[in-house]
Amino acid sequence: MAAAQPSGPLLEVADLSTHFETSRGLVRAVDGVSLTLDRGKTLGIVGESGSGKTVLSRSIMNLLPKRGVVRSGSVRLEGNEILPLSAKEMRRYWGAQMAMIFQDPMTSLNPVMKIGKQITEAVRQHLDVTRQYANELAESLLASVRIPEPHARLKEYPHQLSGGMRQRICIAIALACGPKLLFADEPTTALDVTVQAQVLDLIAHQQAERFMAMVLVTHDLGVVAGRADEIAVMYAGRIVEHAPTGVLFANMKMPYTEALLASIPKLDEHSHTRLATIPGRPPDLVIPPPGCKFAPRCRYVQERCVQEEPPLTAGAAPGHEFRCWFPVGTPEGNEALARNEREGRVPQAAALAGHA
Amino acid sequence: MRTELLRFIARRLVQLVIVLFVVSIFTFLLIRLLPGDPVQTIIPFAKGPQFAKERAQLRRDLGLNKSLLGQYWSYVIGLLQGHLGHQYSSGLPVSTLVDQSLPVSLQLMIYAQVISLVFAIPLGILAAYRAGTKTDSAINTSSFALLALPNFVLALFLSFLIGAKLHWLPTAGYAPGWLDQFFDGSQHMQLGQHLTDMILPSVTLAVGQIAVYMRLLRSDMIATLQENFITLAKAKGITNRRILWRHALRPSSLTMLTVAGLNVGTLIGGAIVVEVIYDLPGMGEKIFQAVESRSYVELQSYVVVIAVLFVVVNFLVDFLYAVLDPRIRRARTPA
Ligand SMILES: Nc1ncnc2c1ncn2[C@@H]1O[C@H](COP(=O)(O)OP(=O)(O)O)[C@@H](O)[C@H]1O
Ligand SMILES: [Mg+2]
Repeated sequence: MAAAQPSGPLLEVADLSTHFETSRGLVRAVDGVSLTLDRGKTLGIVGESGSGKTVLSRSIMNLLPKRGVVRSGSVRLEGNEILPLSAKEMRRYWGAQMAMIFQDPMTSLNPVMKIGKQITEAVRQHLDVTRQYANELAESLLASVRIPEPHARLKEYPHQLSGGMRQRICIAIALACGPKLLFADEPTTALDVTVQAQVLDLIAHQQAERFMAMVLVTHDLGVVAGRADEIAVMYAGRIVEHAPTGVLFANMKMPYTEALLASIPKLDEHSHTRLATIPGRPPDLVIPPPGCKFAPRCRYVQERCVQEEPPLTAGAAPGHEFRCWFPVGTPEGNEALARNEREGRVPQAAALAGHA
Repeated sequence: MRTELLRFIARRLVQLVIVLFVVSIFTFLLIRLLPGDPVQTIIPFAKGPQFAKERAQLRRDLGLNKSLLGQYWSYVIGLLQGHLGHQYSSGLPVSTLVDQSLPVSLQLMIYAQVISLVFAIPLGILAAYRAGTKTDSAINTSSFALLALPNFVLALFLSFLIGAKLHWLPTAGYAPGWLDQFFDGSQHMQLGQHLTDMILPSVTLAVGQIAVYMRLLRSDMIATLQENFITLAKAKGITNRRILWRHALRPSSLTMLTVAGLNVGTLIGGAIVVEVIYDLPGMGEKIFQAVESRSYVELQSYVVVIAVLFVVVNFLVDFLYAVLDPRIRRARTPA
């Protein structure tokens, strides 16, 4: 594989695992994830809360603490391996090459530092510019994320702004040094429903304008539907289905993806309401079940699913991969579903949930 | 922003007046609650014309011929005009003694606070940054060892080693510093000598505080370092040094500052010991002498001065809060 070749993919993640050492044992938050992302493209990462989306994006950014965390695999940015780099070495990448927008804008900004300073310090860290130039840049960044009266805002503190405005500030900070790769970790989950679409559109617009690649993390398939080029569905720290967006929606193979789609919130509901429609809860990440991690909650579950973990297999369409023995819409899948219905077999978790 | 800050100060000033009122009642009662005739209790046994004169002075100072309320009224009026009674052994007004001794103690306490914070802040930051490592426990253990060391032991040790054995620094004596002239116009500043004289006493007083401040900063800082805005700062590519000092220190320092304000009480206690051992003409030494000679009126006045000092320092800490954390000032009203 040629290193630092501008024609190769921007981001290549291979067999990435992140385990946390806890008193209960190793928490396998991310387990053997591989993916690639080209310049200017958007990858949607979708999964229920706790499926490892945040840990995966922070692992790729190399933002996790070193202590108590066991990582393996490889993360290459423009061909350069960054996983083993120290925090000091990562500083060249953070902000300048890769940036992140966090979930909760209410806690992501320093409450005792002026907004202007929080933008310019990143600029002055990476670009060799004067204070005045940095201030002008900050002001134009605020204008480009459509914050009214950008000049006056520079001198204000975060608590003087609404959540939506604060998230725009966070976006401005992320954009400040022109990164090539942007992680947006549930950027609108904490926001009022009325501003969610605005903020997502704003991010998409800036992304297109700056030709950035983006990893858009969400628990809501509806959010990535029109915005991502590709979608990776995560469950229990693994990618269980991965496909170009059109292929995924037209021809999803994984029962979990199907269940996620069924749980897209209706327009009149808040999109951050819990996904209650999939019965049961994700598995224990310390002692995961031996077979398919979704088996206890799956409508298609068969004997084989509980015993043998399905590998990531390629589907018919290029770029489509999934982990399932009885995929949705295939003869095996249909037969499995029909058999379960005939025998009155319900998934273990659904049975439990029904009695509760 | 300006008007918010002013309003904040105004609110605090009202509280300040109320606290001082309570303090005045307390110190007033301190003397009146002495058993029997306070004058006999305060100047007992001694006979002779000179003592009769002192007793008369004391009776005037206390205003004992008036009703209790009348006594309190003239006491407060006297306080407001700076009358603190007389030292009966010398006949000097206590206010003169305070003017001579208060700046000595104030400077001692300021130096001690500065020295302890100068050590405690970097140590606290380092301990928090390296929480749970050998560095952290080394900092903890050594600062607690210093905390456990009584002031007088440290004072005796330092004056023996640095003063008597090595002759590096003076162990007794006092030259006026930058503050004395504002209280007593006859004092002329000799800054070099003053600072040399003050090193050992200040260090003695400071050492025990380091562990206290360090611990408070460390635990608040550990909490702050878990905050999302710290991760965001890291994700911007800011250096560790800048994250710790510019992002994490300010929001982590409020508990430490509160305690530093409240600690003035402890410091005054420590200052008594330190001033006596290093022979500094400060309030501590005056209090020590007043207790020894049972000069109640003098003591009462020192209590007033200390109480006012305590309240004013804590007022300043509150003010510092508002400066350090803009959220403590009220949110801006739309223009
Ligand atoms: N520092 C940590 N120590 C132990 N477990 C963690 C830690 N951070 C996250 N986890 C666990 O990793 C799993 C994935 O978490 P996360 O990535 O935050 O999920 P998501 O973002 O998809 O909601 C969760 O089960 C969570 O409890
Ligand atoms: Mg998350």
